[in-house]
Amino acid sequence: MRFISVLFCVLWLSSTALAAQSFPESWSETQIRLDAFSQDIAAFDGECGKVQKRFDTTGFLFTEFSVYEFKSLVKYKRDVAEASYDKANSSLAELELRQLEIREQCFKLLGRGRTLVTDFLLLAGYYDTENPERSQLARQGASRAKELLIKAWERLIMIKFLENVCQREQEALDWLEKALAGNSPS
Amino acid sequence: MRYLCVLLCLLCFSTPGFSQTYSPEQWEKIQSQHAEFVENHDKVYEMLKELVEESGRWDLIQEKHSQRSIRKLCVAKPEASADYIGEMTPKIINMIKTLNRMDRNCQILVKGGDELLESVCLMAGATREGDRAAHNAAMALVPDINERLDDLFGGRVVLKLMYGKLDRELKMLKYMEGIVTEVSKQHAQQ
Repeated sequence: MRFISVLFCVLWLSSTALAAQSFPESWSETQIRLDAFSQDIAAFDGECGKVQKRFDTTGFLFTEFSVYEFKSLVKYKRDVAEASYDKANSSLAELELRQLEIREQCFKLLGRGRTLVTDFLLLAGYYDTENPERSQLARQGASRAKELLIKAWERLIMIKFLENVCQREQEALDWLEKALAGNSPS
Repeated sequence: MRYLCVLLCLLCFSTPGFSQTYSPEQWEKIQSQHAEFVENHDKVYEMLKELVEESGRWDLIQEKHSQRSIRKLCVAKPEASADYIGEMTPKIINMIKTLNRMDRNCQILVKGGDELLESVCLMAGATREGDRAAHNAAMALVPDINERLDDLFGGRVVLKLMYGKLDRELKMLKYMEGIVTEVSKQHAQQ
């Protein structure tokens, strides 16, 4: 009987001790992650703005010429065509790289944001009856994480648009290359 | 001693999770909501795939021509251009309406998915200490819901891009219309 009593004591103490240990740890750690996420989203936003500006100030081949015009451009202004090709080629390489960099960052942020939302909701459930105030704070944390997550999704729209711009410029470059080689379709 | 045992038993069973173990009815409700979410998600995802495939077949003028070459085309062939504008404008407007409808469906599904995720996470959090089976069952649903929510957000990104393309096409058609009207006026004056 003494053994059973001790066993119950150990079980109860260990369960409450574990709970007491894990609550504040995961709570503060999740809050720290939210702060870091918020800062990273702000920095990412700034970075996206710079990339967008770089795209906005670039003169793209596909906006200046239709693919059908390359043949006559090469025929009548070969030097202009060659210079345009070189310029567009180097610009595209740089822009593609920057677009890929921010895309990778964006996917990482999306993953972090989604995990944060889930973790805060799990904490909200965990504290639901034990500590309603903290549960409420956890729900607020989930909402904040969701807002930041949506910001990252909105940025992905811009990144995908830039990806589309790069694709169109690559197509235009391919056409101009063919025209310079004398293989452009009539 | 017996009294002490009973007291300890009571203490054990009053640890956080045990007091809030989810009822089978609540769990059943969550499961049926999840099944409904999965079914709707699959339907919307299939529709999105079809839309993307269809948009891949569109021959959009803004993707092939510069404004300068469009102007040349409209001046050289105003009647054919007018026919093209008359044929394409309602098609594009209809497609934009379809995209908007799809986006609204996605938004509704995302809202439902968010609410479901919240219910599942609250249950998983509340049962973590006291009811491992319920906790594990709820936790097992979390990645699936998150993945489907990501799909829906991704779908909305695709819809927005498609909308952007069609909006540019519509602007280009309006630009063409302006040139054709101008050319027709000039012809009438002559």
